[in-house]
Amino acid sequence: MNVTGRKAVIAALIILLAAAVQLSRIEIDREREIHFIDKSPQFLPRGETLKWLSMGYRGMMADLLWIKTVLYYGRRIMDDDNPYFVYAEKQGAISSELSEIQYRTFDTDTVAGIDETLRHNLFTGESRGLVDYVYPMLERVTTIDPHFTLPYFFGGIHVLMNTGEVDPSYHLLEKGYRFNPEEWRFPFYLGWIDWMYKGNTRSAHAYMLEAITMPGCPDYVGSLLAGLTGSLNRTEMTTMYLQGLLESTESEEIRNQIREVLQALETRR
Amino acid sequence: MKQHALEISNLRKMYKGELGEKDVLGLDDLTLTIPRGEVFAFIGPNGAGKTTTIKLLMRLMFPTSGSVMILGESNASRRAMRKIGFLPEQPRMYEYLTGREFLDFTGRLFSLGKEERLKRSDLLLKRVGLGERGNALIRSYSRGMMQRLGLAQALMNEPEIVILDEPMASLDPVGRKDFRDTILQLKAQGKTIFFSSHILSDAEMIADRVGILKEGRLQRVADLEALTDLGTSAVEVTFRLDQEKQGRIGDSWQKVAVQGGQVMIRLPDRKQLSRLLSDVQSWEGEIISVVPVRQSLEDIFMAELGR
Amino acid sequence: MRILAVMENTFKETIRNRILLNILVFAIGLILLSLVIGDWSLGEQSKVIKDFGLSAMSIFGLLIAVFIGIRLMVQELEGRTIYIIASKPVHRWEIVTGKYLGLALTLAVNVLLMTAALLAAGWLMEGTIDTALLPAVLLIYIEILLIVAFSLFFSSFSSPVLSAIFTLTVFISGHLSGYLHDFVKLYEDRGFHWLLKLIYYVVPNLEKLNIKLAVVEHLKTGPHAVVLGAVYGLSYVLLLLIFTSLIFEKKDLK
Repeated sequence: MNVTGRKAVIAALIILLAAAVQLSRIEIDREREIHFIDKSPQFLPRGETLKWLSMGYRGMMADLLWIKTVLYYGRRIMDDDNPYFVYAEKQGAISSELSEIQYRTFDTDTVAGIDETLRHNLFTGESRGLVDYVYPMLERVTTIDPHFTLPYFFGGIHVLMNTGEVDPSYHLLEKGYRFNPEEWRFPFYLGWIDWMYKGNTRSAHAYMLEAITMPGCPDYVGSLLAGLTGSLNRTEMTTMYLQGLLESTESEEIRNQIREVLQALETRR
Repeated sequence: MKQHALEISNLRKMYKGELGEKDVLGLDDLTLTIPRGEVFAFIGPNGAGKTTTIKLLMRLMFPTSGSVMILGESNASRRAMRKIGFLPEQPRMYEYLTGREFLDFTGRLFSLGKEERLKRSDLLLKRVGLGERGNALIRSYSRGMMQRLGLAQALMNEPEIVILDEPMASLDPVGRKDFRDTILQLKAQGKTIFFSSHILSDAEMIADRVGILKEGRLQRVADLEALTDLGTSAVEVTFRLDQEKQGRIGDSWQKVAVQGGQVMIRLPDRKQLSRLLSDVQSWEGEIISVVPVRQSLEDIFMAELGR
Repeated sequence: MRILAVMENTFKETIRNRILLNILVFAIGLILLSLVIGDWSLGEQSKVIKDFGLSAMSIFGLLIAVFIGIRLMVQELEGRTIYIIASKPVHRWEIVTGKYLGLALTLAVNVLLMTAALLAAGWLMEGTIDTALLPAVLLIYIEILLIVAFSLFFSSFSSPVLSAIFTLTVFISGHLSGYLHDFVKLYEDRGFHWLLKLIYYVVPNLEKLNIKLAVVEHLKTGPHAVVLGAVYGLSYVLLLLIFTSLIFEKKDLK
């Protein structure tokens, strides 16, 4: 074989093999998406064990698990074409009328009925693994690094709103409060959950009171507390809460989301 | 049989400098032809480019420009490489093998059959004087033994051309003599031998021609036969002549040295010898000695390096 | 066959220099240790043994892959034995391939013996031989083959220390490339997206060859997990061998 011929054969071989590598990679991805459920939290050692296993790199270990959780959550729960969402839609669990905005409006009076069904279908049975993934992971992250506050709020508020899992969220926030007693947001959110989700006004009131005495607590919490003692209805309370949140949030992305929700509430009123 | 054993044309090697350093010249424009059956010695001080040249011949390194033909074929072809035996400088062999196993391994690289390999390794072990040590691990070998085994592996394929890099550097006097004998044997079999050395006496004893290399450039190729040919070499004549009679010599002869009653005259051409002898007789001098002067390789070498 | 000669010689080296033996003793010791640890784990002994066993196999296989792969190459180049080999009528790619196959053979022996030890340990605990582990073992072997190919590749152009660092980096990032995939999705609209994507496609996704947990837990792995993993891993290996050969073919052996 002459030199050009040899070169051509080698080039062809390289292209062929590169194609085989990429095609088999895609095929493996497809197969795993269907057959392979990530159950890693079940096999991960407990938080205390991970703490000493991380050998001084606790922050990094916590960060890694945290990123893993957020990414998993984003891919499996928030993504519109996540296989479970598609599955739920096929089962009729998500009706086309139920827009995401509606779902995220915490107006539980209007959404309650559908919310229950959705919750049942989306987060029970096979897809239970989703919730079983996020909360155990957050539990570990917060054990390895208990002063890392973001995971508490993520699990306590964000995940709660999307899954309606009250108890694990509440526990997570309680744990956060225990480790970070100087942070006003913990009692504030605990009070919020007590009132909005658990209907426990007495406890809610107590937490809110604790919150407003703490440094850094914004004024709207005081107004909320006033509303709680007075006779505002849920939609008005929510609007007030969200307006306060809008003022204290820096991320433009989240502000836009809040504005959308506020608009939805406005039209409903 | 018209092709030459080795035809090196305009061979040049620049070493790429490390980051921020200049490129270094390894070999500059070497053109050299070695006919079949010749023993050629490549001499020069350390760092002159001897090993570079040999690695380029063996395609262990690749030239910046220029080409090497082996028996009429490019050295890139495996057919050409099959006709060469090569011994690198201070050869190292796999220490976890025995000498015999290593020879067998090299035989396989030459694509030799099993029986052929057995036969040749037996023969070669005896020939290089490792007979009974052939079954010992190479780990236990001395440097001299390594060198002997190295020569044996170079001869596994019964090569037509043998290329040796500093073959005698790590040998004791007995080993050197054995080695010279082996090379002369090979020469007698009509093989071409190309070797490098910085030991001049070795080269002088066995080489037909020498190439002198300095700073990557070939300075001179000298024919050792011609150097030692008495017909063209100079003669030194020493005779006794009383001091008062020394004026008789006059300007007709070039005096080299005068010491008391002894005079030495060097004749560039010995054809003048008979004339000088009759002159000395006429001056009433007495001849002490007539010695042919051989220009030694060392003279040439030093002259080339000094330039 | 010249490739075969180089391969046999490489294998002989690992045997005669007792490299294989040292690692084997250590690895089998670890599997035995897993028997003890399994005893502590309250219930679940056989799961712990299998987890430990498969992990030990994978970790030791990879250590051999990285260090022996690089060591053999360095010894060849810096021990100057390469001058004798490369000056023979042999293609350089034949040397690369022969070396690689010799290492692959060494590692195969290593994996086989460790598998036998692991199955025996399982048999001692449960009284049965868990053949469901075998697909995972095969994929572990393929991962090891891939890492050896990388160590040869890197040592064909860089120093031993750098080669070891590069290979370990590939190993670690190969197991993290699942994250990378998420990042690729996350930053779809950013300027550096193409860079993430490039890294994602170039770095092997070693998690694709990891079904250790799945087989221990008797989870479904997908019907073609082993075949696809093998195609993926072996194509990658061949690609690396071609690149290594191309580099080695042009290398000046100073």
